[in-house]
Amino acid sequence: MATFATCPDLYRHPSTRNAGLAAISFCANDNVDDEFHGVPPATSYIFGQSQFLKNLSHPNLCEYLDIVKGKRDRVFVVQEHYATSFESIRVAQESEEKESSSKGQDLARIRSWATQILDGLVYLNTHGIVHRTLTLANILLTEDDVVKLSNYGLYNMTKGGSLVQFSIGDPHYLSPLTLGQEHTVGLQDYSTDLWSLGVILTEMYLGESFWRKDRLDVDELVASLFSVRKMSIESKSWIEDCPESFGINPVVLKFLQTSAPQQQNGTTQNKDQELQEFVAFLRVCLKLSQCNSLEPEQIQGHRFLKPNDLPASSEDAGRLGSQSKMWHAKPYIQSSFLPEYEGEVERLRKAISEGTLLSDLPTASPAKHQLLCKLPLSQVFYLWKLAGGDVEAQFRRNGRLVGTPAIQLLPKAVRVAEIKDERPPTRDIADLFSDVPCILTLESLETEILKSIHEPNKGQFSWDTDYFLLSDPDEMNFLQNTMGDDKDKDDTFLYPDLMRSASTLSGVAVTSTANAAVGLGVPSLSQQPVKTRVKVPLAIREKDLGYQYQRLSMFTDLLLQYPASRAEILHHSKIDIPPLLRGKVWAAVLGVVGDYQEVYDGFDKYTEKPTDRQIELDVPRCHQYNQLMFSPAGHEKMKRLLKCWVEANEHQVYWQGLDSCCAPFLTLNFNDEALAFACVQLFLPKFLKDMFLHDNSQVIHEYLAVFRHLLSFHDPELSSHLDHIKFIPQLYAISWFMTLFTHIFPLDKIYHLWDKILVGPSSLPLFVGIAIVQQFRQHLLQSEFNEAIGVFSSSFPEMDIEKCIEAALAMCRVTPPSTCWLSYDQESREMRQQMSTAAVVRTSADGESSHRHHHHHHHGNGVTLEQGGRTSMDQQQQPEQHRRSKEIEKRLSSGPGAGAGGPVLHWWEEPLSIETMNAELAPRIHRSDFVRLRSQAMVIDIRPEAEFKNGHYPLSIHMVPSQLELLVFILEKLKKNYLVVIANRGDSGPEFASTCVRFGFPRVALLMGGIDALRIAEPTTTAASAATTSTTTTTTSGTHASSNNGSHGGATAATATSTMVTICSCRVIRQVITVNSKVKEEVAVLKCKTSFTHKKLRSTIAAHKSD
Amino acid sequence: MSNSRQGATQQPQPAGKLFQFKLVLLGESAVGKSSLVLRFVKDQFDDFRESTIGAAFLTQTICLDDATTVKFEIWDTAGQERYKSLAPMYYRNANCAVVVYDITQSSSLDKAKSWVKELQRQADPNIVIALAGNKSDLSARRVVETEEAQAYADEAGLLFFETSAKTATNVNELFTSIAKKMPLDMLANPRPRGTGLNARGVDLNRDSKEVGCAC
Repeated sequence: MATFATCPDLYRHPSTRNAGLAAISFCANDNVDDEFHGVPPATSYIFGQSQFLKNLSHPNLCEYLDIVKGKRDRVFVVQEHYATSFESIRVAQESEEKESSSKGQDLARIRSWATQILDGLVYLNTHGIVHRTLTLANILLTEDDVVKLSNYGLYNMTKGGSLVQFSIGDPHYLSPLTLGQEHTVGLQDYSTDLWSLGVILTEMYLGESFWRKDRLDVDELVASLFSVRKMSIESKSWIEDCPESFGINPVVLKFLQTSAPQQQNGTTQNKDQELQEFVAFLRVCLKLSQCNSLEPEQIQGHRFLKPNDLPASSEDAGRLGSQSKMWHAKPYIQSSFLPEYEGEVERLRKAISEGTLLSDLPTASPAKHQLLCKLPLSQVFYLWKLAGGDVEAQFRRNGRLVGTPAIQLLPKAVRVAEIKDERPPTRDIADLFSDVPCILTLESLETEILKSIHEPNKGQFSWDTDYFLLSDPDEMNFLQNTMGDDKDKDDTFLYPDLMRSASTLSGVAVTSTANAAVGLGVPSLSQQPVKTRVKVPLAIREKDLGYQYQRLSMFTDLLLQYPASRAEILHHSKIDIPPLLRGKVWAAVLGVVGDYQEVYDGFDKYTEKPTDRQIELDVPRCHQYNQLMFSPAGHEKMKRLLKCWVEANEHQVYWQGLDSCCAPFLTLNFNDEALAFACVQLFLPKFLKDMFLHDNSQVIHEYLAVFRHLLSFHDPELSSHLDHIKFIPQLYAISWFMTLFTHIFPLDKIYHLWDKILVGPSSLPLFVGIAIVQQFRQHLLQSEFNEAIGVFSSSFPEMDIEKCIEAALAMCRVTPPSTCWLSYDQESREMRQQMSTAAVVRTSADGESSHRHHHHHHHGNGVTLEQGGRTSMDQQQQPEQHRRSKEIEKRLSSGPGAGAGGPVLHWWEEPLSIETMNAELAPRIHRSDFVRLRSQAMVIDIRPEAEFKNGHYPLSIHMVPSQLELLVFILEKLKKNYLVVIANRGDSGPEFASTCVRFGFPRVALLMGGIDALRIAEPTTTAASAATTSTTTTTTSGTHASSNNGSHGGATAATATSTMVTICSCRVIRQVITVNSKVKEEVAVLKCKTSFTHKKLRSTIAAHKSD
Repeated sequence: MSNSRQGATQQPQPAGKLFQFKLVLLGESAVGKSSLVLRFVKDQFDDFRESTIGAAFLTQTICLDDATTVKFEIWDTAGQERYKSLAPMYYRNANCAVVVYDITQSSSLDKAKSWVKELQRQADPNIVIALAGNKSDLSARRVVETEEAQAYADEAGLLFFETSAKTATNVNELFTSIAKKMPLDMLANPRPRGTGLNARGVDLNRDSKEVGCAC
């Protein structure tokens, strides 16, 4: 099932073809000076409470598009809008009345309207909403006569009007029972809307106003309402007994009263019967009974609404309504619904190129219409804003902020007794509510979009490359996976995924072959980097109308087809993610599938737990500058989300910081907690694996140790300085990594940072950390401890996130993955094993993603057929996970090599203890990565000379550790990208590597297992042929002959070569041949310049004795 | 870890002395540790201060008199119980500590007592400890009586203040009296501020608490 195919914000309902946008505005109570700490301002409540309205979707409701907080407690509400309303029909009617005798509407139309209004109301009721302000003006009509209710959320979002100082609802249509009603009751009194419906339908049918026209005075109207209420309590049928003095229009009263007896005559024609049924229907609506009120749902089956010949329009609406339910019920091929953007854009482009569009605007307007009419309304509004639209400014321009007289509104004078209302009203009540919608014009929007798309500089936006595949021809790129076997696997995350997405792109398809060339050490021309960089900064791309239009259209299409479209979403997400769709795109990137709502609902979020107290304390402090996070609704949602997480992850616990990690997902999916939860459940295992274990200190300390090593790898000078002043990561970086930077950056920066982190390898955050430190490099280098830590203290400095990300990616690309291995990280462990055995056996991506389901089977019949397959996997997963966390603790606390790992691990592949790691400054590299980068590496062998002579890695340089200082100058001349140290087990390799870092060598790493690791021949190349051996011999001898002096090695050429055969693979030997001429030159140069050290310099070539 | 690089050479001092002290804040979650520091260091207050994760570091200098200036290196720690395992890293070698509780939460005083116990057991034996009952502006919701806390502080030998980071009540007083209580006179061999290698981490075995300098 396509996960997002049913999302209303990705889909434009056909009935909204001609929808416009409009906004209303009102002011909330200004209770900011409230003495009680923690009571949020009313606007905040409204803002949070109203968000869910955006998620409502029904053919008979106007969509809520945005709720904007303005200045001074002002709130703007943007909604779908239509020019025609019941009110405009009535106005037109009244002007016609003067000429013709026709009054009111015919019954079939009334019936269709009644059906649709009830449909809308029932839908609202099922979502806990009472309309309460159903008036002629709030019932809109499309060109096809489809009813669209408007403003239905006002009463709900203002907590029954208690958060505003004006009254909600027009007393002409307000049920008498609502007078003096407490908002707590009113918010659940679904019956009140029926009165309004009755009044409205009566007026529309008769063409007469319900109340007498000469009695529009509010006081009298309220008095009438009270009379009606009193009477309705005393008498069962108040309509029969209603005196004219009550103020009801005599025509209306007569209609309602006299039609009834006719019913008993029995001799009625069809039409009369219909009319009688209508009156009966109205009387049901207008019946007032406090104990036995009917709700909209209960009168949906009324006889009046069920004639044989249903009008077409209501049938249509009904069909569309039921169809929307069917989307949820079964798999659905959504593509058939997709708007033809491509064709449309093409057509318009043609029109523009022919000059027809711009020169002839009248013909252009239907074209624009075509462009916008299929775009979901939320996107239309978003583009409207991008095009410079500003709701508040629009109001001001229309003079609407000055205010609509509220004289006809019910005076709100109820609470004087309890509240100190001594103070004069702070502002004129008249400007508190503008109920006349302010139209947001879309006239020029389509033209502007097209203009923006075809601006001449748009070439700069074009992008044919993969962010992660960019590289320098002289550099490694470890993000390009060389393991071709992975190609046909369904890997969840980008790192292994690269090859697949790359192959779908013509521009970068060459990289796979290019890699092989790198393996051979040939600086390949075919690996010319696709240098198409991001020419336009993200900030500009995100504000560009045409670009965003195209991105929105594309991502909407892709999301509708997700999960089938996941690979493509991943690919395009690496470029950038349209902010409006970020929540869903992230979910797609993370791989959320299945019925995540059911999963979320399956967890208990309400039972009290010991962690509740901490959650209660933290949530009101979490990202409170954000309006959603600040709102009471946001607090409630966050608490539920965290409680659900605690419930779902029984081997992990709530740590402060988890709230921050969840905040991006919650704010992006504010109306879809279940999706936010599903994202968190996939996100944490990938990027914060085991960080929230009960005892996470080993996990976090290892993470920080790896971070320190990587900093040495990329910035040895800075790293050794920080090491020197004891500015260790434990003092400043815990909050960075435990929250993946959400604790130090505001959410708008986090969105951009995570956009990239999510599509990157799980090690990417480490490099982001380095990039952050490096942004303060100069400052830190000159700082002592106190000043250094001041840089990262309480208020985090401003920084350029985009720069950070680029720097991080650049470092990530050239870093051998084995230097980032974490012993607790399953992916790392698997890679270890995989490389160790050279067998490509990976846990399938499905296994990974099933983590989040692993408690699901606890909840009985929650597991349906759809997840049946998962369940068995889950049951294995759980004990496995438990065992693993125990094992991690055990292994991490023990020393090096003492782990209980599988038999496939060599001794050097066992995780190091934290103490060992902290004592070293340089990382360790695995043989498999070493093999990949060897052509760019300077290899220094520090074993005893005799052992070196006995056999060593080709091209490695022998060195006695104490001589490093003397040789630094020469080594620098070699200008190699990497420096790899080979040492014996237990020897001073780590110290030597650390010293290299202190001398400022970048990318220093110690080879895991030293020479032992190299003695393990690669399975595929064990059989080095004799022919190759002889070639090597001759080559090396020849080399020596040319550099004829200074070789004091004792080993014979024969011995050395035979050892080498066991050490080297064919590829290594071939490399020797390829590069030996280059080395010759280097050695010659060195000898000229530094004759005094030549005795200590022993390269492979020099190691052979000349006969 | 030893710190062999420390100890700059002695130089004649022009005027005044700068004493540097490492101060650690401990206490239950959400009692207002970070807010106290923020008030003390920047004279600001933030109603919705984010929770502290790991620890945060700030410095503030106060002048006791014309001749004496004290610089506090303040380690503000995370309050959640789970972060407790990190705490020793921050209070190790601390010269002084402020243990904070919330006068509207009785459990927070119990937690403060346990911190005091831990400090007296694990930290530097000469550590100066102050007890701060924060949120004194919320007197209407008070549950911990001043006398009760005062009695405990007297018994345990702690400085005691009821503070309000929100209204700034007693915040400077708290830190000033800590500075005054530090045994400045007993600190031997005042040293001038080192120029290059006066490096110190939190877990260094510093043997001197005083660095003289011009200020």
